[in-house]
Amino acid sequence: MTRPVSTPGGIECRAGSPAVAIAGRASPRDPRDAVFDEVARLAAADPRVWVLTNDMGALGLDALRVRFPARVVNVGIAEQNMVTVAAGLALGGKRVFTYGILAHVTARCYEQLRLDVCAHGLPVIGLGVGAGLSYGADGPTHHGIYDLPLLRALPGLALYNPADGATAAAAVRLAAAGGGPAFIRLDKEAPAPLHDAATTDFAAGAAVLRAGADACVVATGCSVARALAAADALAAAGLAVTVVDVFRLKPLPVATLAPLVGAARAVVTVEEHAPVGGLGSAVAELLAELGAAPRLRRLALPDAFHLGATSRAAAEAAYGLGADGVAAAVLELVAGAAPRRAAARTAVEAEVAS
Amino acid sequence: MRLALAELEERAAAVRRRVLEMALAAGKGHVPPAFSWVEIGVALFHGGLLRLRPDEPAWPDRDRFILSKGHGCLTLYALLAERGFLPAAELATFVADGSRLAGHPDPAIPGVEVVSGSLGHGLGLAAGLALGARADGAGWAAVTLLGDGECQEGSIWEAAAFASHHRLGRLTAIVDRNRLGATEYTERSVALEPFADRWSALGWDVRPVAGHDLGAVLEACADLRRAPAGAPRVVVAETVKGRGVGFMEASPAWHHRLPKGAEVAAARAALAGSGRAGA
Repeated sequence: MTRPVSTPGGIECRAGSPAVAIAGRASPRDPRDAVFDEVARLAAADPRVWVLTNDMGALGLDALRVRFPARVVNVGIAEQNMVTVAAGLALGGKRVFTYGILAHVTARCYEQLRLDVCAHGLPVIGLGVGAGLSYGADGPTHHGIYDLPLLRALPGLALYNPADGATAAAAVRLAAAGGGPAFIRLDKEAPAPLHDAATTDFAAGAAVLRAGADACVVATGCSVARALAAADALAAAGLAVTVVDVFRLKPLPVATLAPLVGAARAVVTVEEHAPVGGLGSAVAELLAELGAAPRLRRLALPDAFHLGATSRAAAEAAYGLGADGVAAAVLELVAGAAPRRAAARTAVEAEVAS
Repeated sequence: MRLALAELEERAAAVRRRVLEMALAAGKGHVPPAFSWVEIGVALFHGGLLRLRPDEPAWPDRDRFILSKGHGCLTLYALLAERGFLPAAELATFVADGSRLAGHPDPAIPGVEVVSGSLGHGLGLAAGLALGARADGAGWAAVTLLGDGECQEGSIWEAAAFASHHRLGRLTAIVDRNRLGATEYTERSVALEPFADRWSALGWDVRPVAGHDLGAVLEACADLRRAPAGAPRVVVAETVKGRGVGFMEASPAWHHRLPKGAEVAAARAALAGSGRAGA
């Protein structure tokens, strides 16, 4: 379902669904299917590959269990033990995937990720489904919107946040080839392919999906499709906008990002995550280190818990994370309006002034 | 290499002396938690239980030993030096800047498998190791030493249920049941009893043992490389925290306190000479 939305600048966008049809590209593919197909390929080729789950199901996992019953283990609802057992298996030479709901397989077992997996540099690849508000209607226990600062803080962990099937599959290949700890955040949404079908090399960790000189939109996860829709709408209004899909958040793809954001007049970051420690933070850090000072707007969810059911569509409308919100932010920055200050910043300034 | 019992007791006494001197020289270290597992450690490292190659620490067929109660590392360091994993002189570097021998162990030290010191990790790591080894048809055993206070961590019981469910017979957990946590008796903070029954109820092969009786420890831990499918084994070793120095023994005040003043000479005197420390 898409619905036309009028932005403050009068640009009409498609908001809500990210299913932006791109001519000549494959049909939408659930990132989970893409991931488990890739894991199956690895498991078939390498008997060291194991998969653990905390009693979480997926069609692709079922198929994997049938093919490799001895190497797919349901550890029960015990996330700490899942990660520790994965580390034990990896200490003994295995290459282990763990699978569960993102919100549960990060914070609940964070120490196990930090010490058992990362401190030993072990080849354990976390698969966390439910990035952002994938499980928005399920309430704050299931919202995958607080994990990025945790995962970014882990030394040696490669952190992927793919937005479509191609980058999800690539994330599995790259994480496995890396030979060390990795985590792949997965969305439940299956967008139309965002990358050109000819693209097979995703090692850079980010890709430019649109090029334009008026502004640079840096997005990750489900927000990439919204950014593309915003760029299309802005193009119709005569604004050329760069859109970058950052599907690897750590290491940050500096080689791709630095020249783009460093030279831009206006930078908008978009992520369906709380505002602390995610993509916006990473880009702001990069800009500061580059000594570049474009106008910057970080679009994210507010620094809050979302009690009750909070659908993605409702959050996009409320917090400006949909295509219309992205387009409006770009227009505002390009028009030279002062960046809207974050509430926290304003509060700090008020305190200093008092 | 298996030494006679009397010789093992001499080793235990020597380990205690070494532990005390390392901590005194450094002005730091958990001495009483190290003392409580000295006989267990000597049985494992000198009593022929663990199959290890000091000149080849990463020998693929070695038994994997995980000191889950990482704060007891002074005993481990002394044992590793005695077995030749480390130069004995390196023990004098304990907690010095740049030393490999930190206040909790990590795999930069030859013979140390994992980072430990945060409690509740060792049993799950050993379970993962045992599961993978069995799948490979490997011969080695996985052994971990847990603190009893550590068994207040929920993750221990997640791992205990997992290991039993998967019948990880070549996994042995030894619990240093000294009845003290960091500041309090375990039974006064959150009681562990009926401790052995908890393991039994989960399907473990439970072996209660007097943890300072070397012969009994050797017997309870015998045949680490037993059948890979069966009930995992837990050796509940009744021990005394601070064992060997009377005024340190079984006291909540002595988790990481060090002897000072006249206590130093008294501690040295208590550990001098005798093979049966503290006896």
